[in-house]
Amino acid sequence: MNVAWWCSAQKATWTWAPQYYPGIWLVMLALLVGYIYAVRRVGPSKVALDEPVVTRSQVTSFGAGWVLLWLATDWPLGALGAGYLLTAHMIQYVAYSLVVAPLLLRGTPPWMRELVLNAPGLGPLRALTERPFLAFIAFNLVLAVSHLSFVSDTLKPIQFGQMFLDVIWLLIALAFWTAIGSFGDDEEHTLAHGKRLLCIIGMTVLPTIPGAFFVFSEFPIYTTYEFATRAFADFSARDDQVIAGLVMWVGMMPFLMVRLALAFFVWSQAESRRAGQI
Amino acid sequence: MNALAVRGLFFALGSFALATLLLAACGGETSAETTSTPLSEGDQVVADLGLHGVALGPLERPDFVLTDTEGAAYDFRAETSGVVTLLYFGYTNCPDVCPVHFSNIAAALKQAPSEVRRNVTVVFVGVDAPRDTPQRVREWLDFFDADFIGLIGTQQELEASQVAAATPPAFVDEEFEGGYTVAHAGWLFLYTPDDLMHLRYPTGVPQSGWAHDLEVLVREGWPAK
Repeated sequence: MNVAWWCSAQKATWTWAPQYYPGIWLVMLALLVGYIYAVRRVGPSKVALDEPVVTRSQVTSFGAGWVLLWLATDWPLGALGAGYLLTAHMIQYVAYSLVVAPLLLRGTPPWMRELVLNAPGLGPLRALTERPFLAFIAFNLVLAVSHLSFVSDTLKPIQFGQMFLDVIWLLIALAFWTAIGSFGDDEEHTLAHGKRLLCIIGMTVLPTIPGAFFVFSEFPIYTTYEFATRAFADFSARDDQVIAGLVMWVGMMPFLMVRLALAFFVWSQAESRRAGQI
Repeated sequence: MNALAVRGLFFALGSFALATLLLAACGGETSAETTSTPLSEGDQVVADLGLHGVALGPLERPDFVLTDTEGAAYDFRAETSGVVTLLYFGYTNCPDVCPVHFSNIAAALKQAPSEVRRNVTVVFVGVDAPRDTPQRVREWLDFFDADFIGLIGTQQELEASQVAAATPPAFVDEEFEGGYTVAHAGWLFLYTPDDLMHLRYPTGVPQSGWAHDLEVLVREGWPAK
């Protein structure tokens, strides 16, 4: 039985025999227990008597985000992404950034967000969530720095290095989507519609730069994946890198386009209402 | 929002960048210690040409005869004389080092100019006599590059060829997934057109490294004294 704290790049040959990562289970369990505890014990004192502590839709969103987070982090996707296939890593990254974070946020009632963001030590995260432009820069800074080859190749073989990357990717995505508004948040959100559109459009442009590097680079960029034993015999390190680049380049688009359309739709509705009032 | 939290935010972002760079720096390869010892002639060439191999005192192109995958005798020294040659002793059931080496060399040669491709011979010797049959070796090599040469032999012939190349003979190591692994040299030996081996390559040379070195050695050869 192969047990380790967290997924990391291994020199061992890839095998489909399950690997066990108790560190991941503990984090997932803590997230779930924390949510249930907040809803049952803390929530009732935070909302009016006639208001629900949490809606069914919020519970469903949080549940879906939680399940996807687990699937993206644990074996096999997490293990493949940590050390064998750049494509698996990119699917994991896109899932964290564009699916898991918005779902978790959508599943978190406003009182719970306040509770979390007011927790001791989270002041900087709160500051980020209140500054959309800075959150946008921070998200892309983390994207760029964490994907530098020497950073990635050094951190991925270390279990706590990979854990650090996973946590920072999720946290920065949560901060970004809180700052500009998750799916369905636009009406209550204080950010100006135009600024939100600009941020989302920026998100469709910047990740294409590393994506293009992956696709057009003559040789593999990351030694982690170049020297990994092949998980699929016919899938070379170079092919893997091209597909990963396309996932980053093109795969992110549908999510961002849906988000952009939603933001535009809500803006247009708000403008129509305002025109009606005038 | 108070100024303290904003300062904290900038501190956190700066810390992230710094921590990531520090973690990378601490975990990275340690740089060679500064030393006053002068470089050997081979090391100097490696440094001057930016090669990725490890220099060693030149050894003659080994003299051995094995059987190729078509069943014909293959005289290594005669067949490869005067050509940049990579020689590797591995086995087709190898789970890690062998496929990674060959996958990277094949990828580098595919990107290389045709002049380089034409002037590099890659020879694989299957050291696992019971399992490295001619057909198996051919199939395995064709997966990487159909131009790679595969050689097989009896246990005695294989051992003699490894001794001739100044490498310890491979041996059955341990059980692995219902079969066994073979302990063998992980180095690739590179012979230059002067029919000497000045360099050997460990595991971990990237495709870009192979592309660079093969092009330099085909075009310039090993510098004469």
